[in-house]
This record gives sequence, structure tokens and C-alpha cells, in this order.
Amino acid sequence: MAALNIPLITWCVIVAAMTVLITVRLFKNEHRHMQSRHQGHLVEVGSEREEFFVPGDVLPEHKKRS
Amino acid sequence: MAAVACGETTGESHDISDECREASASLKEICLFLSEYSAWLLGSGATSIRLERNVRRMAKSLDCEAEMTILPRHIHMTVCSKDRAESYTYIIATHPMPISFEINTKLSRLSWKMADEGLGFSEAKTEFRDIIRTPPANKYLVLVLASCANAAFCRLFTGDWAAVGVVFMSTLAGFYLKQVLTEHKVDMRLIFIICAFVSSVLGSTAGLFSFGHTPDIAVGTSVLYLVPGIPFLNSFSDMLDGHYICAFGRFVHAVVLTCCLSLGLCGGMMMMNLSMF
Amino acid sequence: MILQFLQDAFFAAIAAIGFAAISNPPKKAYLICAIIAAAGHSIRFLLMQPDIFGLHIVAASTIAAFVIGFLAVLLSPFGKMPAETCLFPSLLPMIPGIYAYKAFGGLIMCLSHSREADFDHYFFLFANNGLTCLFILLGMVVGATLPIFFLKNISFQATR
Repeated sequence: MAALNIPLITWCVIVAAMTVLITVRLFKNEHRHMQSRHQGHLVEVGSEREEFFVPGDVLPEHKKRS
Repeated sequence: MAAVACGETTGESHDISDECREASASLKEICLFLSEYSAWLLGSGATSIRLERNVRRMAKSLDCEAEMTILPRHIHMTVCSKDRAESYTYIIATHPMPISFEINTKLSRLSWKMADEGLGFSEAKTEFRDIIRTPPANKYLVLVLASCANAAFCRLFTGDWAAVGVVFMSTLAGFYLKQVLTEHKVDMRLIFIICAFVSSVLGSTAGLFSFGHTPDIAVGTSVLYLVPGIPFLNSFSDMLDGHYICAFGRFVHAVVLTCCLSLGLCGGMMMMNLSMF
Repeated sequence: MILQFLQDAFFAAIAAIGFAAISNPPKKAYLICAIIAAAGHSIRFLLMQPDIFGLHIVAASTIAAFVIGFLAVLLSPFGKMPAETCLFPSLLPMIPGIYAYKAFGGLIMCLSHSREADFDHYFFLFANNGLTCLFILLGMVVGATLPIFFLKNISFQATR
């Protein structure tokens, strides 16, 4: 414990940095794909109606039409 | 382009001055085309002798003569008519691009098409536009192939399978980083330092956690994918052909890149408490 | 021994394909490069075995590069490619990368040691690795371009 284990720290920093880089790039790619397909987000807050949807409920777009 | 068509169909009715004007206009166009052609061919990693031969061949098929000076970053091209009555000179900077033997091959083929099959000037120009739009190979495929290659290299240097695995992973990470940084147009030398550092740190995984029997080979081979092999070969090839300035330019370029790679590797090894010798 | 030889050829072929991929060759070139590089690298391996020929790495590389150049000139017309397209990627596995970066490593160590004995030692390492690297490269290029000049008619008309 006399000296900090510099090699181990360096290794961990590099591995963490690479992991972050790859994850961020993958996430961005996914994001771009999602946007090009249907203008949505990977994570978004749903409305109350969406959260408590039970099959058979009247959907908002159906309501408007009827 | 129209001028060339006129030049071919020049009839008796044209008077002398008209003919001269057309010839010089087309000479200018030929010179501009050949300069751009050579800028791309040199940028794609062709040797100077190939460039000279291809350009002379094309110029001959277009009924004129071309002579040029090849400098490390510029090409000085003069095209003159057969009787040396008129000439046109242009200086173009070589096109900065990653080495692509596919474009090199296609451009060489284009020169033969003009010489043998009598491909006209305007068709050649259209084909040239198509060729330079050739997309590079799929980058993920290149990434995996380069990693496999470096891992195989580790095996060639008698590394054991643990070392091979470590080298595969460190090359995968390093090469991916290189692609990302290249996309963001970071300076080439900085890319080499950073990638060599990352690869060598990851390459010393085997030594750090002490698995396998050849951790030193893993560190040593983990950065070999960065060695600028083609610039080195091109430089020596130019030297043998007597293009000394171009050869020297390419050699210095390759040495600088190797220096950066070595700097990154030394930094990585220092952080990991390893020594190179 | 034969197993080692074949293994060397196999891994050299993989290395050639991968390093060729970095320089974007046409798709037909991959296979040709792999074959040529496997032949060349295994020949160098054989020439450098101390109990068979025991040649120095510079001489062995030159001879192997000569074989590679010969094969490249003969095989490149099949893919309608210039000889360099097959030749340079196949030479890549023989590039002395380790010597190259060890030379600069030696130089850096040289500058960080001021005692004469240490300096001499690292300067020796720098010069030794650097010279070996330079002469391997020179030998390789000379060996590989000789066939292009011998077979000028084939090599400069391959793309015809």
C-alpha cells in the first residue's frame, strides 16, 4: 500500500473510458436510427393512459373518430 | 468538353484561328483533368512510377504530351501539344485521403481503357467522377479483420493463446478509437500517440493479471496495426525509381508516424511499469 | 517442423488479409494477397531456421520478397490489377514493425540517460534496431521490385 498501484489505475481508467466511448457511440447510433424511423426516444415518460392501458380501452384516436 | 468533340470533327470549313482556339481550350481541359487524376492517384497511395506511366499513356491517347514534377504534397503538371506550339501548366495539391488500392486499381484501368479502347475524353471524365466516389470498405469488417490480423501476428511471434486473445481485444479497442478519431478529423499524429497508448495499456492486461506465459509479446505486438507499412514501401520504391524528393517526403512522413506510435507505446509502458528492452 | 511451417503460412495469410483490409484493396485482391503472403512469409520462416539455412533476417526477407514479387506479377493479371495492389499488402506481414518502434524507444531511453555507459547501451539499441529495420525494408523493396522489372510486359499491362 506504499505506492498506489498506478498500472492498475491506468488500466481501469483506459478500460472505463473505452467502455463509455463505445456505449455512447452505440446509444447515439441507436438514437439516430430510432429518430429516422418514428420520431421517438429510447427512454421517455409515458402518459397516464399509456401506463394503465388495459386491452379493450378506447384509444384517444378512436374516440376522436367516433 | 464540347471543344474536344469539335476538335475531332474539325472540317475544312473551319479557319485556322478557330481551330487554334479550340485546341488550346481542350489542352487546358486535358491538363486540369490529368492534374486531378494524378492528385487522386497519388493520394490513393500509388508509386511515382505508376503515376508517370499512367499519365503519359493517357496524354498520348489524347494526342498531347504530359510532363510533371512530383513533390511530396503537390504535383506540377504541364501538358503540351505534339508540336510544342502550346502548353498549359497547373499545380495541384495531392488529395488527402486514406490509402485505397481499389481506387488505384480502377484509375490504372481507366488509363488503359483510354489507350486501348479509345475511350473519349468526356466519357473518361464521367468514369473518373464515378471512380472517385468509390466508397471505402465496410468499417466494421475492416475493424474485425485488422484485429484478427494483429492477433495472428502475435501468434507468428510465438505468443500463446492468452496473448493472442489480449492482442485481439486491444487492437479492437485501439482501431475502433482510431476510426472514431479519424471521423472527427483529429490530427493524424495525435491519433497515433493516443491509439498506441490505449493499445499498449490494454495489451499489458496479460502481464497485469498474470495469465499466459508470454505477456511481453502481447504488449509488443498490440500496436503493430499502426505501423505505416505502405508509406514505407512506397518511399523505398520511389527511391529505387530515382524520385528522391518524393521518396524522402514519404519516408519522413512514415518516420514521423512511427515516432508518434513509439511515443504512445513508451508512455503506455511507463504507466504500466514495463520496460521496452 | 512441417506443422510449424504450415502454421506460419496460415497466420501470415490471416495477417495479410487483415492488414490489406486497412488499405482498401479491391475484393478480388484479398484471396491473392493471402496466398502470396502465406508463401512469402513461410519461405522467410524456413530461411531463418538456424538448423536449415540460418540466414540473417535481411537476406531472408529479400529472398522472400523476391518470391512474393514474382508471384504477385504472375497472379495480378488474373484480377486485372496492377502488381502493387497484390504486392504491397502481401509484404505488410514482413514489415519490421517491432524493429521500427524499438529504434525510437532506444532513442527516447538514450535521451533520458546521461551516464556514458547507459547512453552507449541505448544508442547501440537504437542504431542496431534502426539499421536492421531500414535494411530489411530496403531489401524487401529491392527484392519485390526486381520481378516487376524483369517481367515489365506483364506487370505494367496487368490492368489492360
